Amino acid sequence: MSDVSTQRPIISASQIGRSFPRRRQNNVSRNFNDILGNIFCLPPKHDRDEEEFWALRDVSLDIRPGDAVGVIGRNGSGKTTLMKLLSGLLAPTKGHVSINGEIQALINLGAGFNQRLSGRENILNGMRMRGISPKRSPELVEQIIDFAEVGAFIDGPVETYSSGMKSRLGFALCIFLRPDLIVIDEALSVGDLAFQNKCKLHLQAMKQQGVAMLLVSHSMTSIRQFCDRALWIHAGELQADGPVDQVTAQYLEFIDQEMSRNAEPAAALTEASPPMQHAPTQPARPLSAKVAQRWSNLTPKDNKVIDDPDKSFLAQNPQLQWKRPTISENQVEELYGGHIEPTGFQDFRAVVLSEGQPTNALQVNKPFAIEFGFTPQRPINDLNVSLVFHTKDGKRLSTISTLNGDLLKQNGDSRVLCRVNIADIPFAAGYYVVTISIHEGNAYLWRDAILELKVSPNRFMVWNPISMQYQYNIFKVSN
Amino acid sequence: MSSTAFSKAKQTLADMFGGVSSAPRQGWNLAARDIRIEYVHTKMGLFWAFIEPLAIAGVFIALRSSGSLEVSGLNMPFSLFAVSGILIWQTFFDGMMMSLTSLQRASGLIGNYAMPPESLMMAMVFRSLFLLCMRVPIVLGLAAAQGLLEWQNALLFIAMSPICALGGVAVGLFFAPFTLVSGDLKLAVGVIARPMLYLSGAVFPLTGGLAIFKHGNPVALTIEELRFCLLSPSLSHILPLFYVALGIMALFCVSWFAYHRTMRAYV
Repeated sequence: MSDVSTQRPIISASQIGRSFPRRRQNNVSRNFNDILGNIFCLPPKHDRDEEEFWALRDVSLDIRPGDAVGVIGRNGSGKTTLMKLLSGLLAPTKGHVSINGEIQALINLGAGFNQRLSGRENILNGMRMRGISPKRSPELVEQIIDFAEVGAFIDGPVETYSSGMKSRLGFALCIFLRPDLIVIDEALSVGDLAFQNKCKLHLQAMKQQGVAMLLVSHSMTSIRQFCDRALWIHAGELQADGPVDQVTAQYLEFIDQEMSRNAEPAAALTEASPPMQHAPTQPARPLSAKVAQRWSNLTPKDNKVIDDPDKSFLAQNPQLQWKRPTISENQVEELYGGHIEPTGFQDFRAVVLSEGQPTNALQVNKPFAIEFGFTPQRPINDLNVSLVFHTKDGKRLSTISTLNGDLLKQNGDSRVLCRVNIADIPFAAGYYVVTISIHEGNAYLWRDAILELKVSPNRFMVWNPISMQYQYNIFKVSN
Repeated sequence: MSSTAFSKAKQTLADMFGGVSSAPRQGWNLAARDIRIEYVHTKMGLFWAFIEPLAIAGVFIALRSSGSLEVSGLNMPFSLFAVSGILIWQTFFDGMMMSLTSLQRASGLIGNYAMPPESLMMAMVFRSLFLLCMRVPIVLGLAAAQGLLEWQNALLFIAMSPICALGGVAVGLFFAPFTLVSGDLKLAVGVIARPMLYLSGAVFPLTGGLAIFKHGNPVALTIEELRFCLLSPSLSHILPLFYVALGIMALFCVSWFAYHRTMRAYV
């Protein structure tokens, strides 16, 4: 494969900007003049007109084959406008967008469907609109229908579909038409969890095949899992364009400062954070000390790579079999955040260790470890594993993820074998459930309950779900 | 014109011709889709498009046979005069109204497909031509039934009649961008255009004081000259028709430019 940086960009935007009138409905004559001016190619008067606002200004960027770019920013910052400009759905007021390839925009799923036609007819129309002959690709039609999971409804008019069915059909139609770049504007929340995961897996596979992705999301986890590069848009301007970790960290720092600024002053004495200056910096800056500290806290420094796998308990005890807890899939779905069938790996094993011995019985504030292992059936290069601790009745208490530090990101097809050492179980006495999420990018390869824990009390009383380790200092004050 | 405006116009022209390459195929698909939608829940399907002109012809044939309506001084039977005029005018009107509302009707599509404005424009042309195809056989059939049609005249009529469809689309496209800022414009065009059926020589000949409406009215001129194509066309009739066609093509190009500049900028 040729170097990505030398390939011709799929999208090349140069100093693009887009303005909108604030009060279009109320000023007909001005809008008539505006259209006439546009027809006669006269320069827009927007710069000096306070009734216009610029949703986006002076953005320049290239998207090349294989790029996975996340777009982040607060609501109303101009992300959707940027997506529409880049996908050719909106004309820039200033600048120029050059498009060299097929782009699919998943912005308003199903909006292009005609309500009176059947789902199948809409698929055929959609294919024809994109220059694909349904007669020459009948298998593609069936693939789209299968993927959308609309079943027998496919030959009924779209007006009888639920909104979820329309979205699923719209999504399936877009992703199956072999684009060079997919623009996804918060569109990954279609359907139920299983369908969302199917979409994410499909997108992950397309990404590996070199399809470029442009993903707008408010979920930093999704952006970090799925993208290599991120753009931060703020108030219509490109604040940062760089490696995903750095840009998301900068953005979170900014949000943190915004929240501090807007919050009521704390009772305790604190030094106010200086307001962030928004200089239009194109490349991502190095992390500030504060953010670096936060990320280092999230990524324990004593993570180790141990060269000798035989030191693991699971390797030393190959006869030890993992048994799934007796929790139904429905319970996992309803109580523990959702169940996804396993795919893409085999031979999963997991064990809880306390004082080096397998057990499910733990004691409050005592150390323990969880070991788990599995073998990928194909190379997985965006691998992450998250362990989530829940109370028996479904309250989510804590998550430990390899995403902090990208510990497994370039795992390939090697067997995964990990031990998570937890210095102190901070939960009150009771029963707990551990679920696992194995991700490829931001898609799940598996999500299920893997362990049940019984935590027994120690000699101290615990009144609430969390038992923090503490030490009292009592100052003896003489009268 | 400033150099920036000139370079913008040049870029627009380049984009227009760039958009033309995929426009006929996409335009055809869009038109076929719209036609399918129109007749999707009907038993007789496309036949409805044929029934409407047939009904108009039937009414005028019945009126003529009953002797209750006859206009003297025409060079053809009144039924043929009225039916040909009404159907040509109707094609112009349908093309105009379809194009006038095209941006609003297609906003969902425009928001989802990065198609060039030329595709939408071609869809209007194809839909208008489709309606014309349903109407021309009625006119020719009526002329033939009355023993007035010769094959070379029929060919000339078929060749020249699309200018009424193109004319309607051109006028509609020209005004379409402005309907986005004012819904009044669409209604006003409809209100003004409908009475023009009676003031364009479509139903009745424009004689006496009404002749004033014939001058400078390209629709009236088109209807009149196309009627002559049915009978005994001479160069004196074909030349004006040729000039009208040139004028319509010029208007079409101007409308195309305006439509191209505004579609992605305002929808």
